[in-house]
Amino acid sequence: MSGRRPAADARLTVDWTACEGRGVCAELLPEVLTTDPWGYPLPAGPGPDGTPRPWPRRDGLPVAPASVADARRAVRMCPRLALRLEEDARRRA
Amino acid sequence: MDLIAASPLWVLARATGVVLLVLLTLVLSLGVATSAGLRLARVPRFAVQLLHRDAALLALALLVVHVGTVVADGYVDVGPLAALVPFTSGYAPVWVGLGALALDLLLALVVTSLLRARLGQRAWRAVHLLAYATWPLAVVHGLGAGTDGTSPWLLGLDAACAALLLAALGVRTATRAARRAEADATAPRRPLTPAGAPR
Ligand code: HEM
Ligand code: SF4
Repeated sequence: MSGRRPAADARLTVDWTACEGRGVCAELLPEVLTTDPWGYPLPAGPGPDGTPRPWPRRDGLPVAPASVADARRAVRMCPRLALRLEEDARRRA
Repeated sequence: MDLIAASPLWVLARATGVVLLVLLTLVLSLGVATSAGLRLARVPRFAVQLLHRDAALLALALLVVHVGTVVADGYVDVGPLAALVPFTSGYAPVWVGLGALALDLLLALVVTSLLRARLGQRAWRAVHLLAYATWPLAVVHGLGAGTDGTSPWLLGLDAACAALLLAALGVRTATRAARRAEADATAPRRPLTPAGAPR
């Protein structure tokens, strides 16, 4: 079957060499992202031990279906084009 | 100078020219604010960026009116081609040519920006830095080609626009310096001498 992978599998990745910590993404995606003190994106919400969660570098950050439209907008508007949203049907190994 | 009686189109051309001076200044200042990651009062960063884009689109639309009225009016010898191809105008070829150059640049800036995701950041940015050439080109064009070019009120407006742009650049420099200083102050430091080494 070709069709699109369900949006539940959308994942956000950051090119950390391009990102300048401008925080535009966190403004547009408050349900998904927050920023560290320097403006760089972090997953929203504290981790199990109450401290900020680290960025899931290998797999990217899952984006809930309700936030996918906002995530696309954040990707489009990142001033450094440092964000990517993977929405394709390919499964990771 | 009684051109007002002469032609309403000419009046519109002059009026749009003056508005364009202010609008272009705003476009650049908002661009500088965007690249500094500045919030303006309560306006979030993404909104500053959208304002920048919308002001640029508005400027391009107004530029079409500006050029269209000059060409349509026929009061001076500026053909449709001369509005696009620099230095081919019959009337004031140099002054009009600078305006044509500014128009070409503005068009390139808007088109590449709308295609930014496809062009990639590097190519987009190389074009986008030409924005800084657009402003002086437009200003000098206005000084030389316009009816009111060197009248005191327009020179005053030129100066005010230059001041706004310089202020934006100044704030950006200050913001970046402050951010760097803060990053330096909060960055984790490795000791310069190994722990326990004799001083
Ligand atoms: C559709 C139109 C446009 C869009 C979407 C757009 C978008 C942007 C973005 C995203 C930035 C931030 C770059 C960064 O943060 O590194 C920027 C910066 C800037 N823009 Fe635009 N822009 C547009 C048109 C224009 C035009 C027409 C001008 C001027 C004639 C202009 C002048 C500037 C300037 C001066 C900067 C600051 C550049 C720097 O020093 O880094 N922009 N623009
Ligand atoms: S908007 Fe882009 S540059 Fe800014 S923090 Fe997010 S990823 Fe980094």
